[in-house]
Amino acid sequence: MEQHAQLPDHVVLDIVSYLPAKSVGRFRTVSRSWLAALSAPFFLDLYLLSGMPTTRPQSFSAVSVKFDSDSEDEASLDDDGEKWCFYAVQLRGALCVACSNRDANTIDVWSMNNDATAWSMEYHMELAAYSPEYSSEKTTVMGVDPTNGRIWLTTWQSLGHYDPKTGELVTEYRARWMNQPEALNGWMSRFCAVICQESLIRYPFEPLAQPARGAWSFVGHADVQGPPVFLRIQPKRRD
Amino acid sequence: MAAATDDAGDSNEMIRVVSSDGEHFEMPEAAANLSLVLRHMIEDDCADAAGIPLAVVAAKPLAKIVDYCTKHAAKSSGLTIEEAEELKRFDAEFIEVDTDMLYDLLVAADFMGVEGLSKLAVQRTADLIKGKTPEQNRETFGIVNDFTPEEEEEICKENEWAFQITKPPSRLC
Repeated sequence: MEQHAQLPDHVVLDIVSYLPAKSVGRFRTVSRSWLAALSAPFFLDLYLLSGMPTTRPQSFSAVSVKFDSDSEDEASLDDDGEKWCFYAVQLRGALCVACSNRDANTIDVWSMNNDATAWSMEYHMELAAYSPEYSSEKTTVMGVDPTNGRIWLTTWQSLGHYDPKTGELVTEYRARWMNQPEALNGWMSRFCAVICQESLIRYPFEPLAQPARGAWSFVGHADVQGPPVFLRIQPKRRD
Repeated sequence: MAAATDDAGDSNEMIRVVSSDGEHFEMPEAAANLSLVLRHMIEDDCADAAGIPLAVVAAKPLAKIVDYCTKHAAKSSGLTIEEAEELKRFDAEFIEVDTDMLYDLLVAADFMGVEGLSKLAVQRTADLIKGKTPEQNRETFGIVNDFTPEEEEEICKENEWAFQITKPPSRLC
């Protein structure tokens, strides 16, 4: 396509949003203009947004998922139902399945190929070293950062990214109040991290026993790529 | 000459379009309506016997687009399962084109606002990129590697994670 002019930006972004993170990573290395295009903040926005997670089940029970109609996989999943938990994650528009294994303390992310005929394991995460903070049963996969291939993980109390290459997990944000329960009359803080525009934002929520009383706060990550600087808007006072 | 009738709302009316290189095409109004641009032109009464000029779409891609729209307009609503399957097969064959044509279709479908075709071409392009090495992608898309060797080394190192091969699919767990 050498002889052609550059495709319109929105068309390029459209194309790339159909690609897995690794393909994006490789495509960034083809030329300068592609590197620039695929590193732009507005691109990351679009890309990460399309990888928004779906809600995972709160209880640790196996969901009946039929992975392959005629293999033993299904049966073996049923047998191991107690230690496995499956939930759907949407990564760039593609439906993936995250499998967390409580005993091994691992999470695997599987995706379906184009023809919907076979599953392949995209990522394998070992979390034993980061437990109990990130024990597999309470960790949810949020998305893959296409600039560095790291996987954003949230536990509702901690937010971190996992490097699948080195197996290193770096915490970007932690609901600190959870360590000082007396200061808040035993209120355990939890938050839901969401990717919104260029920021990761969170909103806290309270145990159901205590109805919310204007305790909203937002903590924004200034830039997904940048240093972990959170902007905090103080929560309203609770009586 | 378009088979125009006095009834402007007649969906059997043929719409004429003219490519950037002066070739004339015609398609049923229902087909033209799949293009946002053509639909607006028709609504504004700009569709006449001389044809709607499409300044950036050459004859080759335009012929394909007329094909696509005609096929899809004929089977737009109330599809049976077989018809839907057939349309899917048509799409799959339709988009088996070289990268030059694919590029032209991406641009033209975007310009003319033919949503279904845009999606088809975008998906096809993504499929071509997926799972390829940078060198293969440069070849497919005619991209010139303009990094210096030092830059390339650095950039590949930075993106090393993307070059790692995941375990082959065996069994699920």
